[in-house]
Amino acid sequence: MAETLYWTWWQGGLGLAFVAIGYHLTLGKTFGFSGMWERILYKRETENLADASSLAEDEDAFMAAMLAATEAAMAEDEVAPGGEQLTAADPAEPAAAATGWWSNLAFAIAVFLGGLAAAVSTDAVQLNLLPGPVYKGFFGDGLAALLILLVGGVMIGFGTRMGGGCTSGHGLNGCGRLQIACMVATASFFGAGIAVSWMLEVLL
Amino acid sequence: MSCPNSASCPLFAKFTQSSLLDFWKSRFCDSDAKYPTCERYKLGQRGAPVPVTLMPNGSQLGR
Repeated sequence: MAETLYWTWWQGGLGLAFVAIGYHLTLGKTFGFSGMWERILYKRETENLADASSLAEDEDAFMAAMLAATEAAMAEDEVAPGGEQLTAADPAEPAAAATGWWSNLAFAIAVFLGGLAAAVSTDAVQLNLLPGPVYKGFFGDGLAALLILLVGGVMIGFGTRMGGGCTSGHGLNGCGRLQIACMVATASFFGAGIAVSWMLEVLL
Repeated sequence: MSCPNSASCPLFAKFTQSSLLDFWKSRFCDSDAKYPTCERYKLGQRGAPVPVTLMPNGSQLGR
């Protein structure tokens, strides 16, 4: 089997820093891949967020829309109090910028294409149903190995949603911004991963 | 007991800025029985992103 060629640690670090900082500078948001998937899967909500973001940028328009919605809701409830003065709100914090659905999908596709380009450039393109020989050494290469992979994927997805982020969001960006919660999350999932790996070494 | 999301809800802060908007607080946020019916709360409970334009009764601002 051909040896897989990887970038050195510092090249990889620089590449990731370029992506994370570039993402923040261009979109004003912190990069997190699981969050991106969430926005791809929740297409309608993501589009609502993008619409909301543009409306919320105009404080006066936003407050006017809110007052109109309130009057409509009151009319529906038939509890509109008389003589209330509509008061303009103080400027509030602007809503976080929301990226459009297509930009998230474009990024996800670009991640795949980037990996493919890197593999092609090193003649390492190979279609595998299962991970490498270490995985096969543990779980074989039959249906059970595929099912374990499937269960593992579901657990990763569940844990990511439960933890509010993944390695890129918590580990790369959160730790980079010295967020305590992200450091705890990163230590937890890497610590658990190391512990389980050791356990598997012993048990299997 | 009021809605547990009040502190982080961007609309709740706005509801305190106008006597008219106080309608939403009394109708949803401050009511133990009603806050679970808030569409913002329900969407958040499902883990979905909650747009700032979604009102507690499910109406969308700007639509």
